[in-house]
Amino acid sequence: MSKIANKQVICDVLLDAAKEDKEVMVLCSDSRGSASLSPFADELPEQFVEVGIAEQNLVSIATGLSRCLRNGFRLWAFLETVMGLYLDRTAGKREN
Amino acid sequence: MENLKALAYKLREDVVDIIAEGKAGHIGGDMSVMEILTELYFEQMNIGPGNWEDPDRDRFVLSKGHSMEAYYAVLAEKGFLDKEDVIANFSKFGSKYIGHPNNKLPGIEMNSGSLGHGLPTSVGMALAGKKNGQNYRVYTVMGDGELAEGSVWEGAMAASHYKLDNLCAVVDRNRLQISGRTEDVMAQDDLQERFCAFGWHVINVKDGNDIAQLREAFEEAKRIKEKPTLLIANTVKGKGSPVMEDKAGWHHKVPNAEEVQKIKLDLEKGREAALCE
Repeated sequence: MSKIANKQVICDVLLDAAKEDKEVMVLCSDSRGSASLSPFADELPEQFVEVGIAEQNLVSIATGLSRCLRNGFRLWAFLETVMGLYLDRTAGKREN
Repeated sequence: MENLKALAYKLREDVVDIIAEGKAGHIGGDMSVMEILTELYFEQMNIGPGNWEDPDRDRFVLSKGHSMEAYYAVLAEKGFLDKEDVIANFSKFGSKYIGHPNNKLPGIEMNSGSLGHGLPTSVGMALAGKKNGQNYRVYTVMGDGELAEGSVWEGAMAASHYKLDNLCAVVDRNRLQISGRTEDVMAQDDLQERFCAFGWHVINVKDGNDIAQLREAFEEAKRIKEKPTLLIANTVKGKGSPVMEDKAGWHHKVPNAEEVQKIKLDLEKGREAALCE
């Protein structure tokens, strides 16, 4: 049985989801290579946000994005050391 | 414009009522930031109860979230909140009117108060606007002591990298923080050079408690392309009454009954003078 690395599967799934929904975005802290996200960055650059090696910045920017993007928004933020921190719209959800 | 100057003094009186009744709050920074908030909410931004669900509304993040009492006064004046309800319940046990921005309340875009995060969250909001092709603008107000937070500079770097000309940050440069003078705690006097080096357009607002100067700066910011803008608003902590002006001890002091009376009298005089100009 062939084995596929988790991170490659994650990238493939994200690509499928992001092609269907333009508001699926991936944020990355200079970790596109080690997180196997290069195919996503190459194929959907408009849905890929590189923040450089700045993890706390990545999380805060993700919060602002999640507050303002519109429909069914889902966001994946990848940290070099904490792979696959998942944030969704609830991060910035208005509950009034 | 004169009316906004008077309004800022009237809102300061509301702040005193909120703090005196709640027996808590950050009165010094509330007073220094008041003209900035007043100009933003009553002139610059298209935010109000009528368009709160509009995706094209401007966005505001009070990064210096401890100036919440000033923000309550402004939100109540805009019609988002009931002022008497705020005064009666601020900082009471179980109250929804807590000491920092809480986005469960109408009119508040983003929780804040853990300093250093308002700028990067605003970067995210501005980036979303660019990606969606929307024309809204994003504003955030930071304290000067807050600039010691590393996350501010990460956000500043990203804002210029992504050429976020829809983002305008303001520093409430009142030169005091809880422990004393900013220049003693962590010097900030080369702020203009620092932000310029980070790729920002920087405007030094000589009197950040002057509505006309603030307006001119905000209008200039709107004309800047491919760069975020920073306003360094040189303000006075405790602005409005000699009882508390430029005194670090008033960062979060709750005035006693005698001080309340004196401060409110000074604020009333300030409001009347503004109306007579």
